[in-house]
Amino acid sequence: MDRSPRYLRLLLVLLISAAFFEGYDSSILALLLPNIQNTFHVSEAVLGITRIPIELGLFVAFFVTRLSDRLGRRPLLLWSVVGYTVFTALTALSWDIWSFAFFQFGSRIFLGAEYAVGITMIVEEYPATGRGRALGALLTFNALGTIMVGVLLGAGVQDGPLEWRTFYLVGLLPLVALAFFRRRLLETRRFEAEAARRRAGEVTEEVPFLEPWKPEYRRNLVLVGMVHMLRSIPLFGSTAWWAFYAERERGFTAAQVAIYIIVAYGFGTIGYYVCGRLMERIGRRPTAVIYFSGGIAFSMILFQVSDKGISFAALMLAVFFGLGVGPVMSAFATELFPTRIRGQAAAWVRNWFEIAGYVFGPALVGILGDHATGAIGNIGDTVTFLMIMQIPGIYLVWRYMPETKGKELEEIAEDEGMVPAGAVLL
Amino acid sequence: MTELRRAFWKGIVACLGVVVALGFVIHALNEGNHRPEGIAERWLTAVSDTGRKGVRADATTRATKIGPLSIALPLRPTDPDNRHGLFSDLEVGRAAHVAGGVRVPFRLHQYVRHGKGPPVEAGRRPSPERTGSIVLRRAGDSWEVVALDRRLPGERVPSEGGASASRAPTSLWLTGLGIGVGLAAIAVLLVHWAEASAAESRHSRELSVSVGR
Repeated sequence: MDRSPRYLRLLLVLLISAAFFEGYDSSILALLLPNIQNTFHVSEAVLGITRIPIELGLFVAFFVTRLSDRLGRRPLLLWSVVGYTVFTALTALSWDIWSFAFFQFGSRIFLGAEYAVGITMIVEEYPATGRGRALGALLTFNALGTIMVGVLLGAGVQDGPLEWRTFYLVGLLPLVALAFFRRRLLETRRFEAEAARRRAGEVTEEVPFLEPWKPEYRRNLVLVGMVHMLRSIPLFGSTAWWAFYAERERGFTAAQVAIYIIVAYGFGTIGYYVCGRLMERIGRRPTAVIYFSGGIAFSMILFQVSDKGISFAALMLAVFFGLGVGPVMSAFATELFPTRIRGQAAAWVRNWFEIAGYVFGPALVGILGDHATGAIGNIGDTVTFLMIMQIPGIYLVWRYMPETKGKELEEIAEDEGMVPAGAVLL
Repeated sequence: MTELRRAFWKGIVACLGVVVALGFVIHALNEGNHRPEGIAERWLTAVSDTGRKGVRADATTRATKIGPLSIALPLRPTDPDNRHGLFSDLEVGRAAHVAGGVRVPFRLHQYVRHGKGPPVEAGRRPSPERTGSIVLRRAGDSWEVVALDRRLPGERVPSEGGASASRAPTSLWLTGLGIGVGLAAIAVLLVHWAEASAAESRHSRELSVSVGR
């Protein structure tokens, strides 16, 4: 039985708030780091060290996310929102850099889990015909969260009486939404069916830690994981360093950088939406190939040209394609695994493979492109170098990635040989 | 599952091995590079940070390791905002070798408070832009800042058409493509291995079912 369009709309609205604050919260730290450093009177070195436990939170989110295959999507989403909100509010009350790092660590754990469970719920509840669009809408709001931070920065909120702390207090809003809607949020039908099978003793209650690595799922896990990692290394390397590159290697003023980022992200949100529509119309694989190619090409132009007009157009298109491919990547990470291990498989892809790029991408660009000691000594060339290395990744998608356009999740699991034909009826 | 766990730990050890090996390779590639342009940029960044109330001590230490702060006096804004750095942005160009050292051209903008530009003088608001060249001389393996000077003809930063401090050689682009092909080949091998192990497991399951019958 399908969910009513009304319920699906409500679900999307609820999950959109989760996605929005994931984008919002992730951007606060990146954009307000100097202000936080000022408040706590810490050196660059100490600041660098505190980033390690903070980012480690996203890795620990893996262990929380995998609980969704045992406890259910609904309770995990609700508790993640509570956990995220509590730690975000506590961040606003931090008294030194270490308390700040600890609260942000906690916040990232729940934020990572909330986002991953949100994607899984969309994939499991939406019919095959509307799944791509819903993923596109969800990720559009993720980008809008980043824009919101930029807009608040532009309005000078950080110079108010509470300084950067105000940004974290805004993070309390999801709790308000949760208080209103929590009773109307339902468990996904697919998880309920899986739970019924467990109660009937057809499958075991526990989903082992390494279950997605079993031979029947391994191919897709390796493939999807590698594609995510190959994309995330240059992606995070370029997004983390573009502002520095624009200022130090192309002579942009700070104001120009801020305007370019806000406008480019604004345009980039259309990329998510178009991607969601396109993956339903022409399929996941061709959409991914088009977006990967566009992302690589326009990022290379962005990091090589000096003309500001061309840079502006290239930045918008690089964000459009490079970040806009998010919906199809989320589809790969969830649709290609059966309900029993979906949450856990998505967590492996996101919190192991993709996080590798999150950690190593910016580090590689920083070390190789360092103007004083780097082997390349140039941020623009280093990012372009990483982008070139990504080109063969397109081949992996085109040659090996299964096409799931228009298929229900049960059909995909059967086609992939993960369950015997006709084993899962819903 | 025990076999899977053993394979998983082997995989983790292999990945850590790759990361450590990559670390050694990068360290070897970076070793010996001490570009004066990068040192000059670090000095200007540290000087800028001396305007921020929370990090003044740390920034002063970083700056004075490279050159005296007194040299930077002409670059300081007259009315600094202690919540921000002294400069809102900065850029350096390629170093030119001169007798006893190098000259690194720079361009920066002093930080201007919201709605408070520099005071109007003789009917004109002076620009917050500052340009010049930083003079550095060798100090062991690295460089130290010894003076600020006006730019000489031909000294430009990249945004004015000057050369970048460093560019990647053509061979590096080919190497990048080669590494990408290598990574794709590894990924293809892994996918084939995963496909083969799935087929093998399916086959042994079917075999055990038929033996059971």
